[in-house]
Amino acid sequence: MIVAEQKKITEIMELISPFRKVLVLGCGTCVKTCFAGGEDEVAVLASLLRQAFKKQGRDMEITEFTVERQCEDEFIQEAAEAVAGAEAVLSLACGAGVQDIARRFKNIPVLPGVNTVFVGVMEDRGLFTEECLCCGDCRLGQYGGVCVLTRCAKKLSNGPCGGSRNGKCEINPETDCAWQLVIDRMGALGQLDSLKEYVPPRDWRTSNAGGPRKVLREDMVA
Amino acid sequence: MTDGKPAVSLFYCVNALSAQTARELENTAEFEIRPVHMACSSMVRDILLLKGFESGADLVVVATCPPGQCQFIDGNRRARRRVDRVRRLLDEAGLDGSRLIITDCGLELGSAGMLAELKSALNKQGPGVEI
Repeated sequence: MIVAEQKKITEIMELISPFRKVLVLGCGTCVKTCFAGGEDEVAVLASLLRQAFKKQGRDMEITEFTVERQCEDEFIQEAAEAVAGAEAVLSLACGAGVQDIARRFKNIPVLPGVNTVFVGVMEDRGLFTEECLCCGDCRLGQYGGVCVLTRCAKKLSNGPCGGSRNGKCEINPETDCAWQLVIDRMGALGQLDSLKEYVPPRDWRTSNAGGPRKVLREDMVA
Repeated sequence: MTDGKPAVSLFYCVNALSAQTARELENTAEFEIRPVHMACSSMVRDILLLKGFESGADLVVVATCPPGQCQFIDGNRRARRRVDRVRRLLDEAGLDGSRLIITDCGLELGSAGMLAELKSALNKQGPGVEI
């Protein structure tokens, strides 16, 4: 999932302060799962904003709405009426959702209420960890299902480095050494020997270093 | 503030306050107390605490069981963590998080003790935002 964190309330208040009617728009998919922008977070943020502006003596109208996904037109349309009644939209979706809302509703400012952080998993309740860089050339099969690009601080394709200590990374003793995880996993699979093979440098043209990427499913095109 | 009386939203676990204490608190003349009883204090959600303030409460109080006495094992700990988070959010928004109170002494204090606690908290804070 895409993992995001809500911005500080003071930053959000500054963002929306030029407007009087603001719609807090949630997204019921990734940001809901990571507790950043689902229906509950929308309700909490909207309530705080109403009270905070009231205390400042500002006459603000903060409304709430949540769609299933802000990155799909089919769901975005459901917010049309709510958006029409606002002067600005504070979107609690990831960066893709914010941009899609802005694309659909051209005449209204759309502001981000969260910082999109990474693609990851919920490792434990309330704890999210980064697992994928979206490099566009997945080699997880070579490394026993552990992404060394994302999880090794040095992004080593041929590891480990000399900084692995007791299964932890030298950059942070709380961070697992990705290469230790690879070795443990490949050992369990009986494939340790395959790690002896040299992996040549990666071709980064598939990453977004070459600009924004597109994926096309020809049979699905309208 | 209701009719000049400080308003208090009281969310309490049914095992943390006796029904009699809750009734006595509800009928007190000094405060306008709105008690909400729950099967466990962990059922209180962030938004419920905030709605308490939004609907005019000067204080929002969560009454949990004492540590180690939650019949759902860690409901009181969860409630405390939630209260801590909402307090932080209130402070960040400039809304004085100390108006949100959590107590695990409800059974021990009884209604008189609880009222004394509320008075002391209110004297420190003053009335909240009128919505």
